[in-house]
Amino acid sequence: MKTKIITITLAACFSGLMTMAQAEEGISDSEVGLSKESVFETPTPSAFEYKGVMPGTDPIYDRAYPGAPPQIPHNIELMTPVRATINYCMSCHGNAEEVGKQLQGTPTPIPPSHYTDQRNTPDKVGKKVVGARYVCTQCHVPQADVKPLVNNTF
Amino acid sequence: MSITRRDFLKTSIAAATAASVGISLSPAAKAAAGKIDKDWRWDKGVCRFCGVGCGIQIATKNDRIVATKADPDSPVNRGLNCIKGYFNGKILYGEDRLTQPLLRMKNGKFDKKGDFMAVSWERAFDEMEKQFKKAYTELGPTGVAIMGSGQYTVQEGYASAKLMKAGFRSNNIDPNARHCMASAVAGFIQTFGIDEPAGNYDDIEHTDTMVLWGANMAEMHPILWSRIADRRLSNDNVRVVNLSTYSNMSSDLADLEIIFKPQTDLAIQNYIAREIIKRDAVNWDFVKKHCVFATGPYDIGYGMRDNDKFAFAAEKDTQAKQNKIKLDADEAIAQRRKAGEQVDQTNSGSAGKHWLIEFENFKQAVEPYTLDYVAELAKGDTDESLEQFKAKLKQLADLYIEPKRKVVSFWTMGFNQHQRGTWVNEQAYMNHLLLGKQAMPGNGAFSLTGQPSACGTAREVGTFAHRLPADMVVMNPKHRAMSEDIWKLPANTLNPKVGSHITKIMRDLEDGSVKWLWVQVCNPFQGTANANHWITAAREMDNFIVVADAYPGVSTKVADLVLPAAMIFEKWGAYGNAERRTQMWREQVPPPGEARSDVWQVLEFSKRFKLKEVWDEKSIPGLKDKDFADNTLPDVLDAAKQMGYSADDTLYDVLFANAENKKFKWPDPIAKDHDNHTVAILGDGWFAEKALFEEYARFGRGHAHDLGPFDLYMHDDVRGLRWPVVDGKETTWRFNEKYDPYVTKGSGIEFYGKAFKALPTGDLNGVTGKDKVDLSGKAKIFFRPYAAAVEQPDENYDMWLCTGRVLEHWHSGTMTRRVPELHRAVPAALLYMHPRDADARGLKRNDVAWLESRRGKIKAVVETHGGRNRMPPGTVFVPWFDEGVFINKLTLDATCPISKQTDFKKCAIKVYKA
Amino acid sequence: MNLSGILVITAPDQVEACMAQLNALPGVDVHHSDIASGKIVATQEAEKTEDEVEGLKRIKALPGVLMAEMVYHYFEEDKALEAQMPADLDKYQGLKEIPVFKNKS
Repeated sequence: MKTKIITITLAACFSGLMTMAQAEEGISDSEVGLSKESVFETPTPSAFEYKGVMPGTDPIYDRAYPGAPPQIPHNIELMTPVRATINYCMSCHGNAEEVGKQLQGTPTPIPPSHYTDQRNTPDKVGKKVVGARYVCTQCHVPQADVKPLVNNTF
Repeated sequence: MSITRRDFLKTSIAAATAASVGISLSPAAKAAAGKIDKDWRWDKGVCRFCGVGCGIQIATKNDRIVATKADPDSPVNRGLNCIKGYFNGKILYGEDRLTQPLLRMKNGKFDKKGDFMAVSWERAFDEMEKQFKKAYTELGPTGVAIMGSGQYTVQEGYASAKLMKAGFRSNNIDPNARHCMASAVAGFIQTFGIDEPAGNYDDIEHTDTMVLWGANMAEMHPILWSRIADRRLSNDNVRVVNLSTYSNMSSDLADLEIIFKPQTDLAIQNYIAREIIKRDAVNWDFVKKHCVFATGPYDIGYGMRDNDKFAFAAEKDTQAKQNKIKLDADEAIAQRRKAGEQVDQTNSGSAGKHWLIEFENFKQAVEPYTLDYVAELAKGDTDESLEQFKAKLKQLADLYIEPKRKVVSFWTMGFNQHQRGTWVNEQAYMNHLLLGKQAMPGNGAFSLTGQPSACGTAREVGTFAHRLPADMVVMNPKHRAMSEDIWKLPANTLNPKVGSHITKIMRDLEDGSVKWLWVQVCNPFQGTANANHWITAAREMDNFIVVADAYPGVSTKVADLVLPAAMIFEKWGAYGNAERRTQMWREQVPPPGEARSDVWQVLEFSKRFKLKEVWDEKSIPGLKDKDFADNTLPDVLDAAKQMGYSADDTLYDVLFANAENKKFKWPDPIAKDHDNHTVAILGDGWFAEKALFEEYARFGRGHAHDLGPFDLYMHDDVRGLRWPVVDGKETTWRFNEKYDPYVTKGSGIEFYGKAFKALPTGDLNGVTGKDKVDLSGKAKIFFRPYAAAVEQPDENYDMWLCTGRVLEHWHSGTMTRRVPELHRAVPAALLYMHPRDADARGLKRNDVAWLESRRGKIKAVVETHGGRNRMPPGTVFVPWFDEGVFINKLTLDATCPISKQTDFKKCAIKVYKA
Repeated sequence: MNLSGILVITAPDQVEACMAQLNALPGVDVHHSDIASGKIVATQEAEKTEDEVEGLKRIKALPGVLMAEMVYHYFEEDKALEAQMPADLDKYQGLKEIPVFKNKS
């Protein structure tokens, strides 16, 4: 009882890999994947630097999509780790007294959602960044000066 | 800015404001809103990544995901995702998605040395079937294998396990969750007789003390960490302790950080137990009512091969320790023996056996674990003073013991990926049980999971070499009979001999005892320790490797046949997270090109096998069971005929598209017009994912593993339910009468798990009385000793290597590295090391270094500035997500001998300038 | 230019009066209200951040206002919000109520 397999036309394929695979000679395993070499090779990785030596030197990034957390347009090496006792990010981006207010220069202000305890009092904007959002680097990350490994069509 | 744009913004802002303060929009506003996003469809889903199981909402338009958001209604994450979680939509859209089957070919024929050519599904399955039948005929059911995953949906895992166990009569199916959770499982089963945590995430809000043992939650469970951070930062009395072999992001919010030497967590926990007894803090009321004391053998080996036939020359010295070790001075004290004593590892084949002891034995066993001894042994940072380290250990014991404090201990890979992983899990319960701080809100030892359905699928469905659904095991005749009954199989269809665990399947490929492998939802050739052996075996041996994946990774590169797989929101599915919460989602968008769901792949492949090919007599080397002839599975075809089957029925007819399952019709109103490509392509009108779920749920209902009906989980208001789900109600704290309907009324606490609940009695040295004692309703407090790591730094390989994940990337990076934002956040795996260690090797930050172990060498860029990981001298950390920094070429495939879970956290390497 | 979304809380019987007062303020528009809970959602447009803060103080000072807080804040660099705007926005010109953008934060 072998069922016939429906094949969808190749037009739907948008992969560069596929285009090559359809060529007569096929594609070798060292040409696919993120490291374009054989798994038996030992590549030499390169060092990378995060963009924006100091806050304010580089323009802000577009968000990946509306609602996505903005990426950090500067190196954060000197501002991390975020500790219970001190959170350097807040010294520029946060100000409990003026929620959402833009501060001197152009640091992106921490929005009111970060002052809202979604678990216990979701309709109240408080005076302090809530603990759940205290560790900035859980959602906001700096960006290194590297090219994407593959394009993304999102 | 135009007036229109300005007005639009104002309206948007007002709507956002209204939404965030809980005002519902007026019908007019809603109607107007409909004009813009009437073609945006929002639906609930679950995050693809870690074991936390955050709820998300997914917006789709024209068959593409256009946005996702953290679900504000999800009790797990309340409107928050971590950086990975925000990219659940984007991971689907890397440009090199696999969209067609690829077969290695030369001159139009399959050729192991050929290049990948695009072929049709029909051609792909033809070759797959041919190669399967070749291996199956030559070697029988043990010659084929499936590597599954803790990222399987419930239905995928169930379909694969059923095809292998009931169809092919092979137990060679094992998930990558073996690398992730197996020690936790063994700890649960041996301690409680039933798998998975008693508590749930609400423990965080109920407790005042959280102790992390080898769990860098800030990076690996970020949303739980946000809950811990919230709890800590808003309550001065709350204390967070981070125990680790290096300083990490979880230390940043911790009140107390304890850096210990690898493997000495075993000693630290015994020190706490000793303190509990010494300070007369045992909760005798709890212990006498609900607990017994137990122990097992110490000479259990390290889960390596027992011979060096396949070992590289440099590996032979480490491998030899599988059979015999020389006790060092610390182990001698810990195990009450003499330093230098040679110990044959005689119990390596029976590592899991255990027996009852008396409290007096237990007390005697923990007596050597004094503060002086443990501090000297365990101090992990040479820059810290012994006095300070002692003070910290004492403080840790204080926090556990303080009567008014509620305590939750969290752990993940630090305990689970451990050469004594089962022991160290059991020790966590030891201290919580001694104190009576278990199975209550805010009190409990809580094993976290790494993968999104390690619990829901790998464990609950039982996609392991020894498991059947709902905690049942293949070795148990009653469990087999019950499974054969639900699955409508003739008696003795199921194979009673445990199959190969995932690392053993790799070893089987190398020694030629497995010749056909199907890899599903994982990337094991990047993720298994000591990888040089396995990638060579895949490419050089006579075998056929099928890899189903969404993107090409290391496993794809060593495959013979690549099957393009649908990703999470391109199929229907269910995941179960670490707090027993089962969550479901609908298919949101179609898979690209010819990519198909794993359920479809398994079901379609099953059409190619007739009963007469699989249910005749089969040879199983080494099978010895009282219900079976030696080395043989019986022919069950006659019995099958009596049950109404024909020898020419296919496995698809019998196992999947049977009358019972076909009662679940497609289309189904619960779909709310969402598609189902699996069902559409199967084309026979039954709702496979619903039928498989309902059939699977029959295993657990009435056995304390109850799942609710499929449709309940799909309900708009439901954000997953924590099992056991009894009468539509979830269970928050198990074993506690107040919350758990399975607890006998009036007992308060009852550890009702059924496995290993009759044990012989003995003393610390072994069994003395053969009569088994009934332990129904009780948990075991194990004594487990300190044992040193099998491979430690020496003059040649002079540093400890620890591996793990990073916050920004998931596992082997095949999805997250295709999201440019995540790639730019962490472009490559770095070698984290102490600046003095770098100096001593002529290395500085950003230099390229060689890393070499007995098993392989690779290159990585040096990071000495700390950042997220601050290493003590002598230890380095390299994450494993980066296939260009293939760290598993270096790691050691030693496992916990009980759980068979690999220890990725410790082996010896050297580092030098490249 | 700064735009902010403001939550105003007042006694339920004051909602209507309060809405009128809010609408009378320059740059302030009322968008939603919920009489039962006494909640009003308004937007405020201001040239500079300082004006915005002043404006909020002015709202807080209105009779009957129990509480007023800025819940959502937009300033011109917020590219994501602009990117979210439909390209064919102009065709909605003249509509009484402009379609609502679904906020994800």
